[in-house]
Amino acid sequence: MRRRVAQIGALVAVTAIVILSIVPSRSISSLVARLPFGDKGAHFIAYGVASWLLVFSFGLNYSTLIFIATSLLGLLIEVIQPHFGRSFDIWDLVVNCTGALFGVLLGVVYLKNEEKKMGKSKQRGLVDKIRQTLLEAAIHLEDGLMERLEWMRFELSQKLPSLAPQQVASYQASIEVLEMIQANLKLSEENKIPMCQDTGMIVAFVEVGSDVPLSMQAIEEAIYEGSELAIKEGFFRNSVVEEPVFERINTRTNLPPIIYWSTSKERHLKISLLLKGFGSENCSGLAMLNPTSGPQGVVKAVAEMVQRAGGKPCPPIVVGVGLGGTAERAGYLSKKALLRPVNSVHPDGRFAQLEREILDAIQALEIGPGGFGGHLTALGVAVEYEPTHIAGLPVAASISCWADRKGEFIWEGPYA
Amino acid sequence: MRKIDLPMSRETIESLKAYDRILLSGEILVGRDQVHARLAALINEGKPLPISLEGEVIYYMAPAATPPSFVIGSCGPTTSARMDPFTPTLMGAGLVASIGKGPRSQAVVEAVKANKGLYLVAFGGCGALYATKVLSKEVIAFEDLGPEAVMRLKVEEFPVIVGIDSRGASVF
Repeated sequence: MRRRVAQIGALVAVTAIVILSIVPSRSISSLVARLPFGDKGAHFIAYGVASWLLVFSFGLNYSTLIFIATSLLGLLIEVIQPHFGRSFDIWDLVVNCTGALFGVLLGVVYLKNEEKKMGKSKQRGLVDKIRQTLLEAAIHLEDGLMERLEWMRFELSQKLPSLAPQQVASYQASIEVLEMIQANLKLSEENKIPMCQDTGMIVAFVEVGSDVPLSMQAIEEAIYEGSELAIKEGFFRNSVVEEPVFERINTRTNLPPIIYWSTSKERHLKISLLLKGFGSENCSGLAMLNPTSGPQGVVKAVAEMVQRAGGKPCPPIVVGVGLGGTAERAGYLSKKALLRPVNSVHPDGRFAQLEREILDAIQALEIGPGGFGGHLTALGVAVEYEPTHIAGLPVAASISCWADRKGEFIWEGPYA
Repeated sequence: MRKIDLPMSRETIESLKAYDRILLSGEILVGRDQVHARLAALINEGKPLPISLEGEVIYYMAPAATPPSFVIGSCGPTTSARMDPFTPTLMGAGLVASIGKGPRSQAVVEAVKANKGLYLVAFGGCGALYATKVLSKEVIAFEDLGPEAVMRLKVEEFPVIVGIDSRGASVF
């Protein structure tokens, strides 16, 4: 709308310049005399207004071209004026060009400023999305996980009557763990306080599509700001220290978050967020297997990591497995795997089968909820893979407690 | 589920067996990693402690921020195994029981048995639930540790399971 008005205005202004420049000077001299600086003032204002309107009409990208075009118009008119009973005046030409330059600069400054403000308001929308997603993740688990918890409680309870006497106490304790978790989740949602005091480190996976109207810096700023708001508003714990070895001073903000960037084939921005608790993170691991180890090697490596973890990571657990890449890439993939819905399966049948085999191997460890024992320990296993080197088979496992807190959203900007 | 008042008598402690489900009411200490490192260092150097451990129960926990209408924020247990290197030393200085989550080392099992103490397992990740069991909280030492500072909590019907009993029987 504004662009249309500016285009009409620019057309009127240019037409006026042309007409007023070639009509006999007597008819306009009285009008011109009233303007500041008389004739020169008129030139300056006319070319200034015209080029200013042109910048609004065609945008910042054309500003240089607009300056050149209006200056050429000024030159052309001065050249043809003698044919219409007017005179060529070099000073008129200088003022025409100066006016054009002034108008273009004014337009550019205005539009640049507006662009900056608009970027800020787009960023605000993103900040709020991040804040909401984190607040929700701290008090609410995905439906699939709730179902799996109830499934596990039911399965263990069903086993009770057929157990050997020495196993009963162990199963009863495990069932109680699940019942407490369910009661806790209800209280967390009702009272709007985090389900677990370890609200973790915030891990963000950012996928930038082709039409995202924000810079990486603006996205990063939004992640920091959205996190800060959620941490305060959601009564999270400040669990982050500045440096891992010596003083370990608490940052008292729970920041920084960990941010992973990638591009995507989509147009939009997608952000996935994890609240990664450290009781379970401490049990995560990496194995650099031989390239010939095959699926059995992978199953064995992950089962060994889970066995070492035992009752420490707040079982029942969710396990993300990253295969391939390099050592650190496998670790990244194992975190990414934790983002998948707990009841999803890998689209590639071979990897779906591998997920089932790893799950079975973990259940066979009989760690049980809380580590009290029982034939069920894991709520789900997700595998993600990427190409790797001929000499290796990196296997990373990220272990999450039952509180596999996550959220994601697609953001197309406020104008979508 | 058996209800138990703190502090516990010798008889109460010895009557509890692994897997027993109990509800604790009374006062407990709160401290975790850094607190343990500092207390154990002071004990080993023969220096006085800022708090007495005699007859105390310590809960491995650091709470989340406190919402306005609450006494304490989310406050579930942390992983006990990280305190394993320090627990025998603290039990030697009078600590009778610890509350945390997950398994303990053999050295802790032996320390619990030798001191006729207990290791109690709280429900991991259940911070919102435990927040409703706390009646009061007070920071009493190492304030510089922020959420990890030593606190004294008054709790009511705080649910735990006996993980290691005074005879050294363990659920893990």
